[in-house]
Amino acid sequence: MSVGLLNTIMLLGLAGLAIPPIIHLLNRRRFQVVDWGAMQFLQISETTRRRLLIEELLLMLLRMGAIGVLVFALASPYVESPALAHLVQANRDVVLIFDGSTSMGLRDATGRSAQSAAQEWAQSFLDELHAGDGVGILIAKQQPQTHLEFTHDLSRARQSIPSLRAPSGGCDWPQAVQAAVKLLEKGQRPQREIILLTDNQRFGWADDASLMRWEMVAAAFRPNGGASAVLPRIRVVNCDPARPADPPNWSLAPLHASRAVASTGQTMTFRTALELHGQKEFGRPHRIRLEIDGLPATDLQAPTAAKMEKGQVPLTFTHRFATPGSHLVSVIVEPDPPAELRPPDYALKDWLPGDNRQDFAVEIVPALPVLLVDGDNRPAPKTRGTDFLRDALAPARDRTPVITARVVSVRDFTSQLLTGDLGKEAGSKPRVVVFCNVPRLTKEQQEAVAQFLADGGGVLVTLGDRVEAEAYNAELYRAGLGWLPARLEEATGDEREPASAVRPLPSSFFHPALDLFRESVAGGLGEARFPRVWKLAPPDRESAATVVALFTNNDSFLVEKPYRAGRVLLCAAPLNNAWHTNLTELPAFAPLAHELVYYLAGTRAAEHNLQPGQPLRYPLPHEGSTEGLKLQRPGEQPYPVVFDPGAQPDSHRAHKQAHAAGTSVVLEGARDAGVYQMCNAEGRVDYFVVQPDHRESDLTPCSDDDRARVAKLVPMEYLSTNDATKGALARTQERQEVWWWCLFAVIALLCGEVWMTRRLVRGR
Amino acid sequence: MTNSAIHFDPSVLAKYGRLALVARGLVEGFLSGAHKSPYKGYSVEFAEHRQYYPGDEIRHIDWRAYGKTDRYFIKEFEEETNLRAWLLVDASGSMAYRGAHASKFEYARYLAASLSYLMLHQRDAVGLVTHDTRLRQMIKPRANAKHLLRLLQTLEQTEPCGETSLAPLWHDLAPQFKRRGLIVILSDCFDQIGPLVRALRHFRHRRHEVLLFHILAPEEMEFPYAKWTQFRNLEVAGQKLLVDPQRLRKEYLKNFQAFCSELRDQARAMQVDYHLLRTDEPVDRALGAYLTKRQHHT
Repeated sequence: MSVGLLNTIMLLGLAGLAIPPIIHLLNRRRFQVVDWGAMQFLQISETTRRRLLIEELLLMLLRMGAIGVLVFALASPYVESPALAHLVQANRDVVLIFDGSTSMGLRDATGRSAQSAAQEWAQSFLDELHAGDGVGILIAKQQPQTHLEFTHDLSRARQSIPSLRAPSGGCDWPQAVQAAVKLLEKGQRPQREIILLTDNQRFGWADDASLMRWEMVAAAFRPNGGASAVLPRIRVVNCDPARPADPPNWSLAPLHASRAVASTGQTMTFRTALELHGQKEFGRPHRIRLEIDGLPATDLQAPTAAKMEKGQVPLTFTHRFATPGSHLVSVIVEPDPPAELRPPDYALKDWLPGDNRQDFAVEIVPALPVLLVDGDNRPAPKTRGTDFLRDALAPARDRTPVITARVVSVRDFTSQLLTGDLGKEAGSKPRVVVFCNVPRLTKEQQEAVAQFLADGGGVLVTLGDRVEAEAYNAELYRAGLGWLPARLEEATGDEREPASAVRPLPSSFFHPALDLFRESVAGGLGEARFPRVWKLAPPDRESAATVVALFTNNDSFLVEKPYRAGRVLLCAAPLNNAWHTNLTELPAFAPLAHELVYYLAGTRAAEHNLQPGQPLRYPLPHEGSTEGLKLQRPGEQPYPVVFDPGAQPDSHRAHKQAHAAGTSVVLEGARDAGVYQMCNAEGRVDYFVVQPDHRESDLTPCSDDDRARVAKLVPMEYLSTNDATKGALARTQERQEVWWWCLFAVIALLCGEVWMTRRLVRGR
Repeated sequence: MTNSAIHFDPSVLAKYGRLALVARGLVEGFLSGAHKSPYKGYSVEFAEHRQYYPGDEIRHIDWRAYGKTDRYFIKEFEEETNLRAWLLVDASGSMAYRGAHASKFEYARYLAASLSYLMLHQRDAVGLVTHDTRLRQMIKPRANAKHLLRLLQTLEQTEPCGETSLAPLWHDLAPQFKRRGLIVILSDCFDQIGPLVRALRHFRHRRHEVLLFHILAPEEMEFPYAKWTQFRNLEVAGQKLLVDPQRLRKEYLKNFQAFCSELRDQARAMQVDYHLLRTDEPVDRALGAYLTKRQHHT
């Protein structure tokens, strides 16, 4: 038998034990004075004096005892004893966690999903609970969601179970268990249980990343190690015990675009892959559909026969967007024909339809605004170093350039240029700033760039002969704290000796912006010669900067650093014909300029493709009002976005965030994987995609070792829906609350105190 | 009528200050209501007429009766039954105790003054002894009217102080009261019960009638204190006792009642008239007790 406390914090009330002695001492200090004649009758015998002292001590002990026992009762003591389980039927607090990941949608041969089995088990479990038991329901997803707040209304709990949403996305079990522990803190029962209703999938439970997360939360589940005084009993119920080890399943790999932002009319390339599980050969899928903005666009051509590599069949397609704005690209694979078209003996290729779709939000602009800042301060020079980049980005002969480029000298570069429109049309604030061979920046210019980056801008810095290394290092690099990705050491090489020139190393190009140049082709980037370049110090380990491209001598060619919400790329060589480089003569020059600029412009566009739980930021167009703003979450109707704290139901609460480039509407916690649509009063729709975890399609079940490994970190029992709920219930009734016993003791002590006081005061 | 208020409430009496006035008002008020009281029929001047016999003094012939009846009658007066009374007033420190009412000494002083007035009004000789442990004043009994003034002045000038040790003093006094008489004791009797009883017995042994007025304050009898209290001894300077009265009450009342019962029983056993007087009770109860005793004496 062991004894414990649920609310150890209440033991602070034991300080109240000092109250009776303090009152006694205070009474002794606050006495009245009486001039008295009959002193001889106040003289009492030593025996009587001793008796009075003992009685007084006894009375004080009674009072202190009553306080002590009351405090103990408030600390909710419990006793664990198997013998007690037969005597008393104790209440308990239970949190049910439903696995909300996609894999719970897997249907067996009878068409019954694991989620349905979990719902049925939960209903029968709730039927076994008694009045006074507390229940809370959580959904384990990438961010746990509370489906039902902690309640003692069991009928409400039963009613809430059928309204569980269809499973989607991934699942973070350790976080969900932590959330359940927190939810249990609202209850007061000594019997606390967390019941996990899952499908025994290894991913999300016992894969390396999950084990690491279990380890991080394990400390809270060690006896006397956690914040909670009572460790809950954790039970894991396998809701799909009959699931085969590798059921047939088709899924799509995450969808990627060649660019996160593109101009109208530009062809964008999208890449994904068909992932096949539980089958060794590729069988042509029934259909692969492409949807743009939620509307069917076309059917993609699926390979009739393909060789799988690591279970994947790559799928690439292109699309050209005719209109600017936010667009949603969706790919849906249908491996099996509809039921009515299937032959009688048709074997399903896909048991899990929930992972057959991938979405991607892209931003299409009329022309990408880019500001080129030239280090040449001469008034109206005939040629500038930035002419090469300007021509590469926006050729003069192109009447509909995809990029709007404007050149200013560093002397004329002000913060207004970064926050105002570059062209005549509205909404052409610069997305990217390129500093070309700029000697140094004034303090105001530095601050303007820092704010531009904070608002999600992109900066490209190219170096040349005008660059003042000391100023760059002291003011822009600032020992790794500034936005410059690397410290400049010195310009190396001799421009008159092209033979000793360094070249970019294509084998080091793993950066998405350099995808095009990875292969060594004639006229490719690998053929560029740089007789003289700036030597950049390697980034520190603590620094967020990374080298994304190298020269052949292993010096850094391109270094990238994320800074606040933006990105900075530092190029060690000039992007013009200075220092006798042949870069501008190569066919790769213009694509390189485009790729770097589009990559940097995509920084802000990345906010449209989110991880679960990441805040959703919607930039208000043209300082527009928030009137009529509506948000449609995955699987829901559109509801208005409201900004007041006392938000009404059927609305989404948000707040505004002002920054130099404008105002954004921020909605916290976009947790459900899927497509979010923000619609303003003018009917313009912005798409946001919370990306599902594609590893959820890996249905490999946990082995006994996997389960044991997790149970070793966080003690838990494994059951399955085949086990009777009654049996599960019976085994948890050993822990009994004894606060009410203490309350009886308090009442008895108080009665004793009253009796003794009356006896002493009234003279019996 | 103002007087009726005076003689029923000792607390109100105190406001009048002058003891003579208070005592006279008290006694006359008491006597004026005598026809209604159980003590009616008492007279202080004239007793009866009887027939003249030769040898009787001629000055005692009632000439007015002779004028009306033409026969000689002799007037008989009370002087023949005159009493010698000693008032023993305890002026020790404990008598200074004052609860919600007049102090015990004030009560004893009013009572002594009233008794003096009453006795002298009846032509009884009255003496006064004020004392604590030591003898303070001793005025021998006289029956003339001027004597009252001296008694009252003495009472007025006496303030309670000093310790109470009654028995030795009473033993000393007993031989000094040579003629048989009435000894009226006004005291709280806070002393050891044994010596106290022996001293009373000493008075009785010398054939004195003893009337013991045991004067106590209600607070002393009921001990109503609830809060922690520091009791400061009225008789011994610096002696203090800090107690929780609620805890001591039972023990105190037990001791106190045992003392009072013992004193009452012992007094009755030796034919001492014992009367317990509370300072919240009117003084006339004591006057009634005295007159009853006086009647027995005659």
